[in-house]
Amino acid sequence: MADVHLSHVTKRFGKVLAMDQISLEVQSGEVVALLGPSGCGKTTTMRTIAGLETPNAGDIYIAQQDMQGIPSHKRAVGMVFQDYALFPHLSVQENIAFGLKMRKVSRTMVHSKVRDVLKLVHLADLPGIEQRYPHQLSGGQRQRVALARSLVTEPKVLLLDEPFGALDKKLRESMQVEVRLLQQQLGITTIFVTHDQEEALTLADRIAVMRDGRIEQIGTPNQVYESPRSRFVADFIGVSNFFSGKVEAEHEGGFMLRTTRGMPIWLKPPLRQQLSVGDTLHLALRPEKVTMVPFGDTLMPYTQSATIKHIVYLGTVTHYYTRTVHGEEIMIYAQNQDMGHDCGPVAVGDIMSLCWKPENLLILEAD
Amino acid sequence: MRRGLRIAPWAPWGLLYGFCGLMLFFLAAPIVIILLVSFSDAEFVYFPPPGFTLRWYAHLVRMEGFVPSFLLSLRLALLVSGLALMLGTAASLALVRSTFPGRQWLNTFFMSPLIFPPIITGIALLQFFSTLGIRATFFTLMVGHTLITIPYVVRNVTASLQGLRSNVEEAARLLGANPWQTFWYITLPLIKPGLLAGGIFAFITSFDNYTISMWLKSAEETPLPLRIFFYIERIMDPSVAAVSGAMIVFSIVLVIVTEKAMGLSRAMNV
Repeated sequence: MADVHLSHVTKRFGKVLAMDQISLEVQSGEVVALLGPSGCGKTTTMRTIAGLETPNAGDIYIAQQDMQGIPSHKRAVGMVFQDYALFPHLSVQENIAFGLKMRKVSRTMVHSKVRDVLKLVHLADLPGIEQRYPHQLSGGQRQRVALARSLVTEPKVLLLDEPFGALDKKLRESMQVEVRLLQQQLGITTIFVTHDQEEALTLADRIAVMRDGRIEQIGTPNQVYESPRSRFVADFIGVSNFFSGKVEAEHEGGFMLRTTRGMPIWLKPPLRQQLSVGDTLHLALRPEKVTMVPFGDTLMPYTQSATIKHIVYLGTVTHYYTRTVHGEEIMIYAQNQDMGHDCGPVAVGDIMSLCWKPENLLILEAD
Repeated sequence: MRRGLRIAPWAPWGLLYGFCGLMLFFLAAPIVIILLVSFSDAEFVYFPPPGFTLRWYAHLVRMEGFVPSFLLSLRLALLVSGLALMLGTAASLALVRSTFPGRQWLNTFFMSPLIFPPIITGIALLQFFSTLGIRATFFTLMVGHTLITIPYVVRNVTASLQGLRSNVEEAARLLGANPWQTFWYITLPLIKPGLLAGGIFAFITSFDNYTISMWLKSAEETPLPLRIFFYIERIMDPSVAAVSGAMIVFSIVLVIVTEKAMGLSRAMNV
């Protein structure tokens, strides 16, 4: 059952088309990330669901109910803002109780509910936290209070707008895990906006990659990473090597493609689309799917020889920037499984053989 | 090195403190003098006073018209600051929160009573009321004063509203507050500093206004500043100083009470 359903929603700000016929279904209990660069319409999409913006066209349903003409305060939607938007003149207790007060919940109920939700967000152990004011809290505590405030009214849908943007890296990572666990415990339908692909991969059941007011691709983290539809998606989620070229020959169901710089690439079935000789193709290859062996130790056919141009050592992985004999730039991520390098000492200027499985080549739609 | 340009290290500080000292002196000296004169036992305003007495203060209460005038001015200033707060806040909300054609123009228009010489505003209002056949009463005074005090409220409240992040209001809406509840529980408490500052400016402006009241007052009731002026025209004895002294004390009490009750120093952004 879809808890949130957008059907061909369009929103214009003057001449800018912030949402271009967006359709989206979010299932009950699901976490969906709206991912994209700034100005792609992700925040507008969220604000439209919250009723903070009125769409120019299209329908929005929350729990099968048409939201047209229903103001924000009657939508049963909880939202955590990027800067938390805590009420500066109210204490933590009053901030959290605000939604309950608006619903005329009795005083004793308010007290027990606030206590429960503080426990939920792991703030109950801090003595006197209820009496503190937002400016007396740390960034992480503020976020927990904002989360508690939006959860205490038991909304059907939780919206998070760049929720971890203001936190430093360590805290961000631990809060991401914590929020995900909390979401699973409550089973609340959640939509969050982010421009951070890692955050989307960490938290979301499905990721909607947005661009210019449209959803470019929606799918599980695995789907959008392993089979990106377009160059934009392949570039936005993760890092890719890109090639374009023409199909030159067919052999036993496989195809031989030559890139614009003249590098031959072997494509093997199963292929995502029908190919014929003469087609122009755009390909992507993830850097971790490329292996590197000393020149001459060939593992597979169709290896490329390349010169190491630059090496970045990052602890768990090493990034190699290489250039093939045909002049294609190929980046390689290698796990540092053994101390030192997998394939013996490698230095800038060495010539290596690069290989990859043909099925790891991603055929992209033309932009 | 030229010797003539050498400056002693204390000289800049000396200049700064000297300048500030003079500023304070010129601000405070008239007040001190008027207070001293109000206790003078001479029959005329004369400084330094030859001796001291409290009789001018006693005289004040007995003097015809001063107490009613004080009460009139107080009532007027209270009503006017209340009205100016309501109208000014509504205007500020419209100016800050909505975008409509002519918004900038309207903003300037609301400020115009500050720019126009008040005497002209006064004459214009008198003309306006007499054309409509409205007699000068407490009502006309109230309208006139409200008009000239609204800019102070608009100024201060607009500044407060601009400093307020509008997403706290959105957060309140999403927590189930309707627009009125949002205004009452969130917006209003957060713009309190601007309301207080605007309200106090409005009160003081109305309380010691002369130029507007001169045109719009009724024959029967005279606001305090006019009463003082009429008195000085006839007699220049220390009871005028006593009125001033009383007004100074009244202002100080007003500021202290507001400070204690609502935190004026925060309101004035001190």
